[in-house]
Amino acid sequence: MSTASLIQVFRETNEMAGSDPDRGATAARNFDQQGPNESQRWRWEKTQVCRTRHSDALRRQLDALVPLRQRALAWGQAASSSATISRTTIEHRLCRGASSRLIIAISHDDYVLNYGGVQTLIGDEQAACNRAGWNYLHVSPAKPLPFLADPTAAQAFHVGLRLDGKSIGVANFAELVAAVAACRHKGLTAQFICHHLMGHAPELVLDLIRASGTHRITCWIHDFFTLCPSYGLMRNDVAFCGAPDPSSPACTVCCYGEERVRHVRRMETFFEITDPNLLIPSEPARDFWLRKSTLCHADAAVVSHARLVMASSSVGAGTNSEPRALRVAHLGVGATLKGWHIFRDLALECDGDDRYAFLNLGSWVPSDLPSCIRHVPVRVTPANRYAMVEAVAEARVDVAVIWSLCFETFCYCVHEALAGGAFVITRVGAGNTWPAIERNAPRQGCALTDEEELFQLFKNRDLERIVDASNRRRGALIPSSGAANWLLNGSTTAVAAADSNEPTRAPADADG
Amino acid sequence: MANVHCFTSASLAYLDRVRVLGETLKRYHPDWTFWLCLCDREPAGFSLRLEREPFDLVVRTEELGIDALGSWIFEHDVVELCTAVKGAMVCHLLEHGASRVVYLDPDIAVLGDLGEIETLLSEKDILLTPHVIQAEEDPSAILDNEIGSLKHGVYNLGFVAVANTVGGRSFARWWRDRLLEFCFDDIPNGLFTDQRWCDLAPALFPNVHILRDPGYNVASWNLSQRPISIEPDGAILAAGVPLRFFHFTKVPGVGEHMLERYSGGNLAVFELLAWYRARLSENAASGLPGGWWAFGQYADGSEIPREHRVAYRRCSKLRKGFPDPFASGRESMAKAISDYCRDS
Repeated sequence: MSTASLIQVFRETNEMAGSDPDRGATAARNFDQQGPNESQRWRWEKTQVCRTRHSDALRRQLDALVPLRQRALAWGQAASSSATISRTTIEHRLCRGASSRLIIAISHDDYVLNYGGVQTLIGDEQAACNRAGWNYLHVSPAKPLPFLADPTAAQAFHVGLRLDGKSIGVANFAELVAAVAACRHKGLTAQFICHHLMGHAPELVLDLIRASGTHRITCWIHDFFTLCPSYGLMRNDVAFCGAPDPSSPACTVCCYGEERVRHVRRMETFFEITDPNLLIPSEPARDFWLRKSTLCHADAAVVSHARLVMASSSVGAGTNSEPRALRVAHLGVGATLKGWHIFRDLALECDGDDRYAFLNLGSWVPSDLPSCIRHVPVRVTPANRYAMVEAVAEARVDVAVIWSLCFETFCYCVHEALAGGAFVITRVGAGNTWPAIERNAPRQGCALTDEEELFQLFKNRDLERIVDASNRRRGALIPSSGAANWLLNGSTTAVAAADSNEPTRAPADADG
Repeated sequence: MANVHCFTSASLAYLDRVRVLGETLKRYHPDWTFWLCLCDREPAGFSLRLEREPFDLVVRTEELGIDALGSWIFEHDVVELCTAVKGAMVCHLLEHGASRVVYLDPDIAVLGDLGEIETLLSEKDILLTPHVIQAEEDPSAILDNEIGSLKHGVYNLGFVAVANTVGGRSFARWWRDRLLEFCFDDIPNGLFTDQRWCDLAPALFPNVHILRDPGYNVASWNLSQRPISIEPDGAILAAGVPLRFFHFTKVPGVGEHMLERYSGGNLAVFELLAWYRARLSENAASGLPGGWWAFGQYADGSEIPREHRVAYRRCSKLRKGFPDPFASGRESMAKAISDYCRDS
């Protein structure tokens, strides 16, 4: 073919060619470069409203999702590097204890070094057991993990040990099991409490239970880790899933789904062998767990993490006697799971409305704290476990918005807010949040269906009227003895009134 | 049990998508045979190891009995080629005894049971899914989704299912023949790859079933009418019915903009998107050079411009003069066209 004829062919064919089949690409480019055209605007604006209410924060959360196994690598960096202690050292420490009776408790972390509801409860439980004449050995994984540890040899699995609150070192699991078995042969009586299996290999825990000779273990259901590695049952960390069948499409598209299949199988084996007595911190949590779980158990009792005693008289007219803005607070961690993003959006929407002042009560300042929310530093520690209650009272918080996206099995925040004298707004379907209000101070809170209702409540004048009429009272939080009462005395009223000398604040003082 | 053979068609650059399709399909239909029709060749140092792949078998373009294969391949860009082989592949599977053949695009993920397809094919010869099954109201959606369908085809050929019946085989042969000749992205001339051809299918073939269940082939172009929800019982619904498969067209990339535009802020859509991206990442083809397509370059490694392909397919003289269009060097078509471009 000659070049001339080729040129002609090329010119003709090129003139005939050319279209943009990628309507999506073109449209998206136009949209990005020029913004929405008039016909697009209504849809665009509609979606913007949805986004500000819910999607932005949750989409950021989705974008930041890290596969579970990758997360484990980051968690593993906190592993203890202490030298391990031997069987004889453990045996010596256990047998040298004041008592020949020993509670062995396991949980996901060191309850002395970490602080939270479960850790507090374990501390109280340890104290109650010690008072009742039992030593208390706590076992936590030396290498924290966001799921069950893979099945492994006992010699290769390390745990941190605390006896009666004091660290006795890190040991490999085989040495621990051997030491417990040896002590038992010397006459030690043991009971076993499972607070949490996260980070543990349940197969190894079974070895320890066997070595302890415990006939029936006590197992706490502090959260829903027994059902899924996502202990809050938050699908992809953005939506409460309700614990569907692990083979469901929802679990297929969840970042916990793949792990959950193995997880459930191992939990089933553990519960089938141990057939435990269960302690669950609230009735809603128990009802939900029983409905969603097929795990074997002998009994399921409700044992509250703490007891709230409300004062008989109201906070008084002082709060709103002089006209001032209603103080509306978020309590605790500024996490999406706890509805921080909803609270933040609410504050932004009400920015400039002098009827409200927004506060954030917590130990750290959220990175996205807008100027319309005042941060009030509050650090709850074992030495000052009622700091939040006191902060709510001192900051004269009128309204606490507890908008957890997950199913709260107990919810300290609600109890702290009520004890501090605040009116609590919560979400229907957030587990024990509304039942806790209903049980303790039914006129001191309300439950709303969704974010639209929440925003509407702040928009119209209903909130001021409801809060004014709420007869708010203060209260006292009385700690629990954990499983101690239940295990040692057979009582399900496992609160510490009888065996604790440190009620926090007497109801009579509550008005203070 | 029906002898169902499912296939997809892709170049190696889409291997991650093929794997996700395979793993999701096998979850619901481990008994279906899943084929990859590979429109590519492996680069040096890279090989497919079937025992590690979620597809059971591979058919290469060379195995489809296409005449003057090198010239034919050259006429197509990668999307055109991957769609042009679909008819021939359906015929191939029917001829080898499949009682039902299901085609799924590689960028589809199966999220529900597809047993209904088997059932429908016991009575119908051909199943097609329209891009849209409900009239749009918003002008921009009419433009994107309805007028888009008029331009690109009423039915989305990310899915087609064919029974091994007289009518099914007749359709397969007709579609194969048309695609071998006219599977181009040439909307001004009434063509959009394999897709526009199937606008004719309900007229030409009497036993076509239009699958109007909104759970099938959910994608950005129908998302505005098929809101996604994830239920407490674990079901994923589209417009209130179980989602069967989701078509992640141009994800990752510009397809995400389209999904966002028509998601209505619905978080479940973004959960699906996040999951799909994670699965792609997990299934990435390690060792494959970025942007690899064996038929994307001349022999000297220079990229083949689309205009060269268009010229070649439109001109019989070019095809006759350059039977090996991929060649480079003094007497090659590439050289001749380059000279023209330089001189003009």
